[in-house]
Amino acid sequence: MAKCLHYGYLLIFFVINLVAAERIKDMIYMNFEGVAACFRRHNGTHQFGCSYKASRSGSVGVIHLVEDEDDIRWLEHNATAGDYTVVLTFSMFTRDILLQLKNMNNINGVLLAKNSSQPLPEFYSPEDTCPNRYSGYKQCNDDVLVDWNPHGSSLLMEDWPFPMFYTENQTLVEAVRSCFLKHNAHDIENQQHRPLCALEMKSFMFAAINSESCIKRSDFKLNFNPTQFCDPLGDRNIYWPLAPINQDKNSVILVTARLDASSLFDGISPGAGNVVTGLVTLLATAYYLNTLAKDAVVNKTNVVFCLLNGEAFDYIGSSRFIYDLKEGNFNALGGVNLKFDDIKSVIEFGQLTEGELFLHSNNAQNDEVIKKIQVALNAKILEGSVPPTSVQSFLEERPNLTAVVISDHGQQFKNKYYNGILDDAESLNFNKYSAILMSDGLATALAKIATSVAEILYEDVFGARPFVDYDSSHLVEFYVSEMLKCYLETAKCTLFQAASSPNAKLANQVLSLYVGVHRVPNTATTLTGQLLAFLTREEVSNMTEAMCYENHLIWMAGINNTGLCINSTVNYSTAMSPAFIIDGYDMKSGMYSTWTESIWQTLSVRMFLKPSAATERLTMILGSSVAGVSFILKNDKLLGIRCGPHINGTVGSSRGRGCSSN
Amino acid sequence: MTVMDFFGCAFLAFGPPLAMFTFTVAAEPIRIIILIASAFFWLISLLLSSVLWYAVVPLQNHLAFGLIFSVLFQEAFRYLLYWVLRKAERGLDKVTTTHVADSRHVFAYVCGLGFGFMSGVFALVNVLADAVGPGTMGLRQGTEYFFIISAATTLCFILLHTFWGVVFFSALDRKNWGQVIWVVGSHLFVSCMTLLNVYQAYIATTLSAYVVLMITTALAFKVAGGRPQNVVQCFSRQ
Repeated sequence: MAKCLHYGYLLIFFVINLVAAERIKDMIYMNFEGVAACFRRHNGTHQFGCSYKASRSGSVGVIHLVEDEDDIRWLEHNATAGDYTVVLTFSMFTRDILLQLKNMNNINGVLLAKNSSQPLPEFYSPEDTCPNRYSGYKQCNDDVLVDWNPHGSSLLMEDWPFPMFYTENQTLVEAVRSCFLKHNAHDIENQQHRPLCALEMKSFMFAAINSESCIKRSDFKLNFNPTQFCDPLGDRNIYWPLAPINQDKNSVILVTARLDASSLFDGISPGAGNVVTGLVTLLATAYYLNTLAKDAVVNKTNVVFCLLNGEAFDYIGSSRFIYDLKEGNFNALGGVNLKFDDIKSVIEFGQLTEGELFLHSNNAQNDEVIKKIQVALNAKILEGSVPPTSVQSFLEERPNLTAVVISDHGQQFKNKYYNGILDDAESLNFNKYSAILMSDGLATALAKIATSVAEILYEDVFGARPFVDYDSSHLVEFYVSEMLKCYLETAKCTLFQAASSPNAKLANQVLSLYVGVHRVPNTATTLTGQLLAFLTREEVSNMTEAMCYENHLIWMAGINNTGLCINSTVNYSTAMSPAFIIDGYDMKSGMYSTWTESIWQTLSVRMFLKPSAATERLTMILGSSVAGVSFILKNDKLLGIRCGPHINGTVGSSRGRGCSSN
Repeated sequence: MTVMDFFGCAFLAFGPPLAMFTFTVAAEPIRIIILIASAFFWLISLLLSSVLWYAVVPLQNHLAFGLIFSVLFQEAFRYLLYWVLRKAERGLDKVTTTHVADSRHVFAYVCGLGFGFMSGVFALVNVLADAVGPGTMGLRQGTEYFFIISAATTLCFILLHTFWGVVFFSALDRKNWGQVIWVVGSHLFVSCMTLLNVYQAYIATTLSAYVVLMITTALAFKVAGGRPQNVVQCFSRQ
């Protein structure tokens, strides 16, 4: 019945003024698919990101394409059609322009459109010039001013009062452009008299002020009906020890890399030069060291590989790791309590590319391993230099710890798109064909670092030089190039497939390396953990899938998709800032990361024609006067006149069609 | 923003019918009952036309098919309503002080208004719901006057249904088949004219609908026994 009525509804809709078998809404609006939104984040003291100031219902603005400074000036002084949505390309998406827009009061949104026909900008990094400025060992307000990220525009560190969206879908960009040219661009001084092409952006953010307020508002104790407003950022760290950890005394070399990048827009954090290179090198090192050490027995020194998450937001992963070590809560490795004192040294893989390498070294003058690495990689030593990466946390805890960062940059990043949406395969010049052909390039360079470090670690751990055959070191390069494909091109790749359960569905897109909120497990972390387990696996043969699960082992697809039962010591630990688990922690103290992400309901953009005020007035006046006149006519003129059909005399008081006087 | 559009269209389409209801129907309970009954009859005709449309899958994409059968169903139910009312006349006489048989035109008018109200509501509510949103027609097709034209067309149809009711009932009473044909034919004609909206011939559609409305009004006026001088008297208070 309901169904029939529904169709009847449609049908009568046809009968009167029907145009096609769709709702009118579908003809009025063009919904934008595949746009990425800027959203709101908080730390202990401020709010960052974008949200519309006024209402949840979405902000509407007339489209204006901004191609140069003149357009901005026009918007500021001559614009007449109320609120505007600005469409920018990367060349105009700079801090200065955005701040100008922020200070104007007629901007209701910004759409960043990547025009594939234009060359990439020289640089675009929304990160601070000194990332994680207020946390870690060497903060940037030290006497020496260090601009690690010289191209940083700090867009991430601002609170924008309008929504921002990004699209690289050329069809959408073209649609916006042609709509603007058709409806808005001609006779632009009098545009307010026409229906104009406009965008509506919905990205209302529920949280406000700072992490402390929004968490307090969600608190059950204060509210009878608590609503979640924001979630702490966080995910999981990944660990893999070369050998089992001893119960009592350990000496551990920690090999670390970051697992997360960030960006201004939701769902796009490729972090290619920023994260992927170091991450892949760590995975390759772990793989190679595992192959070398197949049958050897560790005596005094152990190696633990760890991938730390949330490092882009005031070192969430490393600070939580250290906090757990200090509290004696860290038992992700075989259930043994590791202690901070057990850490002998920290080696971090930073941003890496081909070419010159640097060792940012601290207290490493007498460390044999570091010296050998320096010689093997022909790296330049920068004594006492601490780049804004995970080692900051370790050195903050113990300034005399031996800690080095292997990176491709000296005092300033070489990466021009640090923590930006453009930090992708293209910016790395990564070419899948050259990677397949094994010609020299990024994969070769990373593989060389991985093999050198792995061999040196082997020597230190086992006290003898490893037996190196050409094949296995060659295999490292193969794996590196395969891994680069997984992280830079698409997650639907050979290695991720091999490291997942058989027939797992992987998304055919570049993984976003943004850490995300702690409630939601991050796909990138899961896949990386599985990949690490796959690479450092101990195969258990003669097992069916069921037996494998029975013995609490992992069943993976394997390279040939034939199924593989593996025993792995890879494990995870929570990477959520200690600030959220310490009772009564002062969010403003700046000791631990306090980043939270706002909850939102919808992120959407749609394009439509906004009616001109004249048409609206016409409709209103016409409607009101017709209604008014009909009431007055019926009321005034016919009162006192008996109106009705003239058949057979009297017809009561009916004032129907015909009228007759009394 | 376009809340103005919403109210403008709503007033335009439903203002005059509402005034008619307030001053002619609301006065007597029996008329309200008949109004609701006739609206219900229209709904059943809609239900049947949708069942037909739903059943004939290959023609679902052809507007004209559904439209013509919908019109025929509506006219069939108008006849059914007439038949039921005539049957019920004696019973109605007992529950009301008015002599139903003496005021047949009034009840024909009320029945037509009920038909018109229901069809108007179904035609416009969907459009009105979208008129509130920030956008207007014209991005892909149509003009910005779409809403106002829809409202005007709806008003025209409500009034047409009212007068068709008057003409149809009296024609059946007098066995005047010419007028019956006029009602069914003009209903088909006006409905089919709205098909031209696809080609954005809004002026042709609206104009033809209002021309038919004027002819039908005159006819209804004549049928109900009105004379030209009555009109003059209506507008001059004595």
